[in-house]
Amino acid sequence: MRFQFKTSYNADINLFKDAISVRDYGFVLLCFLIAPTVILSFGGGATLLDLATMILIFSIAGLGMMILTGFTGLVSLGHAAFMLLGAYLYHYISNLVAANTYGLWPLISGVITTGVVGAIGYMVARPALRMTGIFLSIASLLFFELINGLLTNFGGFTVGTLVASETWLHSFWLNVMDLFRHELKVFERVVIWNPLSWIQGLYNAIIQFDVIVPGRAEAPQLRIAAHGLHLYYLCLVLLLIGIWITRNVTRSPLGRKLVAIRDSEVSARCIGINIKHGKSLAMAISAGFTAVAGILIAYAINGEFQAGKVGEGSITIVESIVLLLIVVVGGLGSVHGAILGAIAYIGLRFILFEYIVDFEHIAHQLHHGIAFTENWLTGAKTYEVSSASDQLRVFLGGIAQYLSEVTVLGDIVFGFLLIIILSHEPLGLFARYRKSQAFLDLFPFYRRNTFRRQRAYAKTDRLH
Amino acid sequence: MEILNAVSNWFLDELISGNWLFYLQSLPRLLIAGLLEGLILAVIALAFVLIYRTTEIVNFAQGDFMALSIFVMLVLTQWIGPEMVYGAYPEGPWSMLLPWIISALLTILIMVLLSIGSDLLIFRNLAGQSPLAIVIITIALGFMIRSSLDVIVQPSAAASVPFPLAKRYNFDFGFFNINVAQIAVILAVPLLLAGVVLFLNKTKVGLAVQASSQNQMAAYYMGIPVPLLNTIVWGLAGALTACAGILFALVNTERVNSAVGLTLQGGILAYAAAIAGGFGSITGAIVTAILLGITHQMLQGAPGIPAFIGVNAPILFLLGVLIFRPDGLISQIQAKKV
Repeated sequence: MRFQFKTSYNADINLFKDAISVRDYGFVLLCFLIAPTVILSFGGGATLLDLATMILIFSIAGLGMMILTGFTGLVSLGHAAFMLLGAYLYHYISNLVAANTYGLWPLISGVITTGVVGAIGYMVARPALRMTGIFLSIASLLFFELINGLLTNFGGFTVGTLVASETWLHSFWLNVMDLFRHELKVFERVVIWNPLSWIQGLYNAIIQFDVIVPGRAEAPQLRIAAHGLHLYYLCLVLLLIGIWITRNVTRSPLGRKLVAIRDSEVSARCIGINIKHGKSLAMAISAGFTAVAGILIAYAINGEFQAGKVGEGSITIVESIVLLLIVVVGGLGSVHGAILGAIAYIGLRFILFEYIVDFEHIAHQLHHGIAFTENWLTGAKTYEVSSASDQLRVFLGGIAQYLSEVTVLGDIVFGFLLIIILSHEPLGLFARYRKSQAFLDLFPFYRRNTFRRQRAYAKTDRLH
Repeated sequence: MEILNAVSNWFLDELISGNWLFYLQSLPRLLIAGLLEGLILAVIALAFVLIYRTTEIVNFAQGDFMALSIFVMLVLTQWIGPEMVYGAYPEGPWSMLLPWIISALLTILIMVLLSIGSDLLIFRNLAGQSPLAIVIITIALGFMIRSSLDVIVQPSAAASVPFPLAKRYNFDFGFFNINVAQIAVILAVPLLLAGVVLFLNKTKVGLAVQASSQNQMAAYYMGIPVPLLNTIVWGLAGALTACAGILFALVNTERVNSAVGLTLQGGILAYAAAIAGGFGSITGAIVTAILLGITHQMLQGAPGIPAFIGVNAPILFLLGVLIFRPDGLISQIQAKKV
């Protein structure tokens, strides 16, 4: 257990608590920095890298949600509307200038988009903030449906399908690589001397960085990985900027106002806080964050991004709810929560959908050794069963065969896991982390009732 | 200025070119369709409000329960035929009625059991916990139900369970027609709603439910078994949801798929109606749902109304209600006074 000895008033609001936490966060950052190289060195390839990128993007969106829901206490179920607005507006603005492949214009249009969507958030907040609680959530859900319908139906004003151009990012990355190529060569030599395998992975990753150098870009899958790499690092930089902004908002007077509004609106009004302005500002900031995430998702999906279309590469009402899910699962009221929630959500879905039990294999094993006749026209197999055990095997094998054809099994397990996690830890993963930290700090003297909840009945705020 | 001209020209074109006579002729038909849509939404909204009033849980899985009940009904009607009831194949459409009624009752029973089960297994232990976590748990439950449906029936499968007599008893009045299923819905839903309201206001259990919805702690001190009441209300809501699902499948002859709980035609509209009606108010939920259905159908094909507004009429209606009456149509909350 460690105690901080505060010698100044500023120590209360420092960006980092002390030198040890600087070290800890530095370690986490290092992990994020070398993660893609480790992934690529273990042969994870583009899929795992896309997953890591998605985690970063949803973390950015989660930070926006955290400012709104975690720090201001406004629950929005339709925040993906700002994602859609950001993606489409960025597409529109960046295509205003024909020569969008080079120069700073894409960056400028990104900044403009973020600002405009933030302003839209502020304007939307004004009428919306007459409502509170669940009324606001449902209104935002309807707002999402409206924006979704607008972007899907109004062919005259926006494009139906968004194809994000990756050219500027690519050229930008090329320039960066030009700057660092010398260092890379030096690094290459260092790496060759080192026999350790993870350094070997780093070396492989650098080779794949180099894919844009002519002569090495033969294999198409390497090119995908390279695209993932620069998108990953772009997302990481934006996430760091986002964390920095969020931390600065929360430790500034504005952040303390927001927390006061969350904790008690009446008391906040009594001490002279302009509630409407505070809430609208929170909405604007979080809309800006979400817009950035929207732009990045349109990039990551690369070409098949469409409003309201069900399937991969779209933002539907489910994604809109997922943004809230991420912050609640992560733990409300902390920056950690947004990132933990994104890791948990995207990671869990990935594990369940990519590495789900191989039912086809199981069916094959169960059917092995049983004689069958195959219908030459349909390919359907009829098994010749002799004993009861064979009958059981064919029965179970049939179930496994059916399950292997059904792709939604992951969703069931996902829902089940979510229910289990939240039933045991309604305050989110970060609360669990804090509890285990306390357990380690107080090791032999931790008491089970330290964090026990007091209230076990529901209280209404309705009037009778 | 150019844009303004273009927009006004477009609007005038829409106004002039619209076929007013046709619209006026189809007005009764639209009214009936709107009434049907609204009545069915009202039943789901009622279940949603009932659960909220007694247990303070905002149950976003209600729409998915409805989708589940549609598919349970589909399976049961295919399984229970006249030969199962009568032991033979009797002639005539009337022989299909009894099997249909039996499978409807079985559906209601199954949904009541499932609803009570979800209360006992999940929600009873979460009383007083962070409401947001409970909302997310209900959403996760909805995920589970929806994807279980996709496992049991094919993901692309769609259901519609027609009323056995609907084709035979179809009354055509020239400018509108109505079949016996629609008449049944128009008669059954008000009876159902009146029954629930009477149950809440006149019976001893209903009064206890109201007491526990006002103040759980005080009700518990008065000797009212609050957890048991919560279970009863979950069961009642399950029955209502099953009724809503059966009626939804009756009226929507175009097919319904497993995602109906989370689309604008099904679940979400019902939640929005319940909340825009003043969350917690039963009258508000019913009135809003019926108004919503009628507005939707009336605006959809109306001449002079741009297609975008026609399609999104329910959303615009509900947003309008929420913006002009932020606490809902019949307000249940009030700003705290210090």
